[in-house]
Amino acid sequence: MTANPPTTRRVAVVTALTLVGLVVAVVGGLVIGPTSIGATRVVGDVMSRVGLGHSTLTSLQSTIIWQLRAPRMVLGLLAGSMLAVAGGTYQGVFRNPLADPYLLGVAAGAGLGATFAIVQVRDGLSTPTWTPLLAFVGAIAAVTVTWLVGGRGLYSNAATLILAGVAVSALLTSVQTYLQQSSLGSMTRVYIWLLGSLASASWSSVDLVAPYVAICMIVCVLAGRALDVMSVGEDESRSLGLPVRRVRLIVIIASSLGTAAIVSVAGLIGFVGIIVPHIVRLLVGTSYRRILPISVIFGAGFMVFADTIARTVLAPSELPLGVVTALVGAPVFVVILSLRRRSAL
Amino acid sequence: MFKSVRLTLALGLGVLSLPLIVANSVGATTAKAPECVVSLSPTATDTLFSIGAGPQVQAVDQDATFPAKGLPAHKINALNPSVESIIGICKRTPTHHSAKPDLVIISYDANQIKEKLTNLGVKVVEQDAATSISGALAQIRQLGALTGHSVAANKLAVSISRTINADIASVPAHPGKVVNVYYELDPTFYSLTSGTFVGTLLKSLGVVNIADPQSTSADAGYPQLSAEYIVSANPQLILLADTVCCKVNASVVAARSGFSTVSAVVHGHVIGINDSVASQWGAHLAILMNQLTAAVKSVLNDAQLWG
Repeated sequence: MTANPPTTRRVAVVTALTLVGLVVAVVGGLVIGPTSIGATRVVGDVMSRVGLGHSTLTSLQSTIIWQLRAPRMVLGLLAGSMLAVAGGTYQGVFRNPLADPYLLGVAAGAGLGATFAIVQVRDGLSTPTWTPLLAFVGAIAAVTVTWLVGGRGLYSNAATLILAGVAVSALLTSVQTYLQQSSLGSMTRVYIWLLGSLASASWSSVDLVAPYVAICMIVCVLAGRALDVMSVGEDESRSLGLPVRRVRLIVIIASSLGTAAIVSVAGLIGFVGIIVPHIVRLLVGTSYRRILPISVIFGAGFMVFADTIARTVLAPSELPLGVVTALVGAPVFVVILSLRRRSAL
Repeated sequence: MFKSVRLTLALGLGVLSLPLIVANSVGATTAKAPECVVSLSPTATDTLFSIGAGPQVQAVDQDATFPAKGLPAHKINALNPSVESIIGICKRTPTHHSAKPDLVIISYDANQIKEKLTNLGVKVVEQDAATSISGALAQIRQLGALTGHSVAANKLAVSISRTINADIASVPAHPGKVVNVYYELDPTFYSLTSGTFVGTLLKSLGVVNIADPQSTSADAGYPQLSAEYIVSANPQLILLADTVCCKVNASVVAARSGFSTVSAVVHGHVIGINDSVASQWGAHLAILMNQLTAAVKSVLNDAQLWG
């Protein structure tokens, strides 16, 4: 995509700017909200927690910051980073620029699991408990079926797996739609879940997904070198001694598990997994050793920024997070794409 | 005092408006009571069974919940109804020779079902969700007139209006005690304002609805709030109308991040209402009002809260 690989200095600058953006997003996530609490007072409270000065927040304000905004912001960091790195690894392992973390049926499986929990709640299932659990189970089950259908066999390749993912997704989505239509009273809740949100974030949901996300993210980032090798093609990679099927399986397990964990607590947040790796690729080149770690930082900041917009622009109502990620991400992507084209000419 | 007078006046107007409403619905007064009625409105279904028209009802919408027993086996998806299935749903009897229903009651004109059925010679009456108490009572009376149960319907309407007035009168005057209430429609914090049907009932009990300042013209009185807004508003009373659909209860609310400090949670004033009772403003309207009144009185009588 770029005529010359970006210099180390350029990569360092992009990394530094991305980190600055992340810090700004984090501070904004804590300071900005429907309830007006002065930025200096919030920062003062944060400082007081590390022994510097004393907090001037009331009990109510402290609750709002540390029980509502902070867990939401942390979950946003986890969700953004995981979806971005999973999207990047999928694009690498399938050598497909349109790949995103939902390619192999995670979204459809999670959607079916969540819809089942929401619709069948009358039969005794508790929505807050069962929706994340069944969404997670559905996501993992969908990817497993996809792998069993398209990933096994001597001649299986990336294209076969993608097609299997399309078929499994279509099947599960049709069942999900049927369930949704069969229960009119649940339709709104299913729809809201499908659009994704961090509104129900709590420290317990952070605790629940953080271990999965941390491990999966590390595995994905470490796969960068293997993905660089795979970029020359499957046969060539094998001739270079890379165990292509094993790498593909490990990367798919890590990406899918991490994505399923996020989807189970935040619903289907679209666009981050496809747009962030592409933006990073445009900035630092095509090597996954650079794309993946920077996507982690970029995705985290992007998600927190998008969520801050989602919960403030129509406060106290909220915009669906998926809407904001697309509305913000698409123009940014187009601008960067056009700038890169211009500089390449 | 004023609120009682206003409500009594509204209830009286409901009675007065009855003939007009019946006259406005095409052919509403029938010479012969319909033998086969299809009700695609859960509220109407509840009312029909309450006024003794249950045996005439041969199909209901799939979300009908009242009465708990005795609903017909035929269930129809009211959001996506099929003309073909409705038109042939009635049992043929010596007195009813056609499979076509005599009367179909809808609450929402999905798939232009009203026009399609009317073109096939089926009488269709649309009863939207009532926007006022008088409107709800008029709908009950209209169903009575349509099905040949006017006396029972009128008796039910009078009983409901008396209950509502008695409930309002039972709430003691509470100068200096401001009861902020949050009414939850679903776990994503959709709520309702004082301009809605249920909001009107709450307002008549003298409470302050925390959703009122957040409503815009776009939300039609049903704004979505946020956890942060609810926590900062610190309501003394939380009413849950999502106890059945979503299994939300006081424990679930208390476990939500940040809610443990909210007054209603701290003092045990998180009250659940059956979803159907909360959303079907027909025969169960008196029960809804009883529950709202009991909840408000429990807050007002809480010595710890006001002591």
